[in-house]
Amino acid sequence: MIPFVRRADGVHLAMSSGERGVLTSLTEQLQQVLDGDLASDPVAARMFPDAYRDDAEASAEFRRWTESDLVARKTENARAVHAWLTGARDGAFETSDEQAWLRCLTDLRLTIADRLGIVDSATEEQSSTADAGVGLRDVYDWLGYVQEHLVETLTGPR
Amino acid sequence: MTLLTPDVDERTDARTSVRPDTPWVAVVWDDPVNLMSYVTYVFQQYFGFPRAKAERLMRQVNDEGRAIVATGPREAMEAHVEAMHGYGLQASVDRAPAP
Repeated sequence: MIPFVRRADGVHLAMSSGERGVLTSLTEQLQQVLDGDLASDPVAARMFPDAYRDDAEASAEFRRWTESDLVARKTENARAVHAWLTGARDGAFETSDEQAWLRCLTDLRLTIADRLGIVDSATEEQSSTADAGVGLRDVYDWLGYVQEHLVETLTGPR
Repeated sequence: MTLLTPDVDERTDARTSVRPDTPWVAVVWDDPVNLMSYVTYVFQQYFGFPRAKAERLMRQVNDEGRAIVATGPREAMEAHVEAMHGYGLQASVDRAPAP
């Protein structure tokens, strides 16, 4: 089933209930990650990368004044997507919903890529052929399809 | 210091030290997670680049590993980098390369 569909009044969610169920669980897990001990979670390096590649001190300072805001926004995005998935929200996406979806799908993929050990094209290839974690890799690829489809739906003909 | 001391050394210092108004850049780095279509979308959406420019920068990120997406004062570049992190892209602030 295609994840999104454009109608006269805007973009609507068109996922099956099974797909919604998977994504509902993932957004709940993402909220737990964001609410958890990020300092000891390696995904933090992907969500809050060094802003100064050769200056650890400047990077730490940048993180001090940006990270809590970023965490709050990422959490809000995950909550918004969760509300659409559970039916608490429905109808056409507002601009803020489009942004929440795009960013939340990205955060989910960043998190799963970390758990799969994907750091470059070689490890990406490995994780698609590895015996372990095939299920999670399938989810990762599906999320990529969902995001690609959303970008196409948002930027395509109206 | 006396008036007889030539000021050559001072001028040399001034020339070789970093000028305070040296511009900064915002750099977006390649990563194995983000989709090319999404990166292009972010460049269009956030920076307001035309599609062709957004695609060219996205290809540069993909092919060369990084691309400079903005140049200007440090504070502005930090704001861009924070925004890129908000989109989930890998981005950093750096000194502008020498002309």
